[in-house]
Amino acid sequence: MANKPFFLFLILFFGMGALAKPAPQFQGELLGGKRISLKQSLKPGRSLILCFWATWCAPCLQELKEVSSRLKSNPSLPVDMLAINVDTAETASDIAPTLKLYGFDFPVVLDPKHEIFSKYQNSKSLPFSALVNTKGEIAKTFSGFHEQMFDEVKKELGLESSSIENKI
Amino acid sequence: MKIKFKHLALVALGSASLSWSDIPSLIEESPSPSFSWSFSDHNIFTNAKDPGDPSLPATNTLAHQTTLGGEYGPVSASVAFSTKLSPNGAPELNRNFIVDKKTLTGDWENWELKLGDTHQELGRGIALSLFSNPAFGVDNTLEGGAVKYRNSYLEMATFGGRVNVLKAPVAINPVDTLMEGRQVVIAGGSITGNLSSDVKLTAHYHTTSNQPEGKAVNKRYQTVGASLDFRNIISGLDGYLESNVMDWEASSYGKGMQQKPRAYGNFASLSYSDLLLKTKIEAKDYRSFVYDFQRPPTLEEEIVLATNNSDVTAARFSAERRFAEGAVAIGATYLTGEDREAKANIHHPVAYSKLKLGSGVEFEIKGGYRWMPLKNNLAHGSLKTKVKTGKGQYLELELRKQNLNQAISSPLPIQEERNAAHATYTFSEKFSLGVGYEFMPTNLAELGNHFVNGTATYKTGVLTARGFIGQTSGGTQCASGVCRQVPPYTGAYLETAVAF
Repeated sequence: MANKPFFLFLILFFGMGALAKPAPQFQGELLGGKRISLKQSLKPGRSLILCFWATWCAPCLQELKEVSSRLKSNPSLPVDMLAINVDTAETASDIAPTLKLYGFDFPVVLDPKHEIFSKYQNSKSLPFSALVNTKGEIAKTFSGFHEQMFDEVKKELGLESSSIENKI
Repeated sequence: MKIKFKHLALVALGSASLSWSDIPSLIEESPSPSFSWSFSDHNIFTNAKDPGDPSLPATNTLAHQTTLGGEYGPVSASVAFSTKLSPNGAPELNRNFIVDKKTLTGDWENWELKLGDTHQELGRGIALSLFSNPAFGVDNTLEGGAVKYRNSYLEMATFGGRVNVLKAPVAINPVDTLMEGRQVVIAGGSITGNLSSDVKLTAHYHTTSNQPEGKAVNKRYQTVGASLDFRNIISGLDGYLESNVMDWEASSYGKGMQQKPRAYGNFASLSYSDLLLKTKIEAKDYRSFVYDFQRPPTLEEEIVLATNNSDVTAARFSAERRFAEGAVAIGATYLTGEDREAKANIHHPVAYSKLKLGSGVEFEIKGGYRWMPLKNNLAHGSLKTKVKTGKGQYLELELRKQNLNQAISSPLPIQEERNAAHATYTFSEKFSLGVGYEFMPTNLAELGNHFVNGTATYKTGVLTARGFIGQTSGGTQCASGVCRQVPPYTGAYLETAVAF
């Protein structure tokens, strides 16, 4: 019986992880100088995939390519993408050339001091993505490159049975 | 007299001549705020031999950090507690639930106010960089206050406080902070003007004082700098220029503070890219720039030999060309310059090629040669492959070879040969297993010639767990795009990171 509070704590502790929680708010500078916040990026009725990446992270580039091409191939899908670059000053000169080389034209927020990254993931391992639903909650997070990430995104947003999914 | 960092922080905060009456109107603009919380936990339990004396028995160490955070509208707060316990190690190094970091932040549309621990960086980190890199146990912050004001034309920032380093880092090979027995106080700021949507001009300044415990201030630094950042000045052409001047003085026995030679830190980069070609020229010129809290661009490849970032001039040229819609890429870089500490020139050409066969097989081959005439030379090569074996399943193989001669002109050359192989099999997006082997024939017998290890990684959205057993030979370790030299490791560890 003495262990009852301890087990209750464990259940609460791990149970809390299953609850959706509001996505941490942030505002940052876009590559090109303008500022953008999470609230501005989250459009009514649309979800948002936040992709954290760096130029030296090969799986991150693979993930960006995958997500952006699948979103482009189906513009009617109610999902947007915001890439958050975490290159530090040492490799910052590579950001613009890398985007151009891969032909990426999605918005990129610069987070060289990892102020946004720290709010979403403390261990700072890449690639890392977070799916923010229409209510502004974190619906799912992805650590590492996930080949089936897009399928999981659709599943999470309840788009599996819609006609949209077949076009993706 | 001991410096009161709180006073300095208040001066820094007050020095911003900003209109506080703007803040309430910004708060009112925010839509209905909601409360959210966060919890993260990072643990490493290790049983390892002392790299300095492998004959000693292995010691157990538990390093742990818990970070609790809360957010309500534009205001957020976090606090990080750390513990380091070494039951059969050195008990004097134990730390029990100490508060390592605490931050209170208000982030409105035009204003940002931070109290507590903040990361600060000026320009590209040449003048100042207080940063975090968990892999090396680094989390240098400024404990004080920081204010930022920005609109579409300009950004002004000011900060002040004392340097706060991690007292119990959660890392296998934490970098020595060199902060024992001293207090360092920093205050500064920057102002940036957006000359157009693609051109930014910034000026920055900071002053630093170093005070040994119980003694008077013995070093003072003042750094002023400017940077120009421009994008697409001609279609595809981007550039960055930065220049810093540092004046510093240090106390000499019986002579009081003495002015030291003026230091300079300059960096420039120019790049051109399109869908097929990426080219870049970067140059650094650091002269007598000895300062503890910086992270300047090194221009070095991931094979790290250079530790001199204070008195060196170098340029690096790089080009990458893609063919067949990106399925084939070839590239080369060439670093050349002068290391004034080593009193030698540096040359380092590197060539690489990446190849994709269908959607299932990838190859990357890379080789280079770094040499400083009459001083040292290093030849390195690597081959990486990734083969898809099923849905979400991969086999990755990496082979590396490296030959280093650290004293070419010495009658007794100091040679180091490394031959390494590493294979990882990813069973699913959650689980992977890896094995590694390294052969170092030039090592002394007591340091070992063969190093074998195994790793297992389990990842979900909230949990990352990694287990390791075996030996590593030390040498270069890269994390977050930064490479450092680390000591050998013999033992086992379990690392977990949980975030809700």
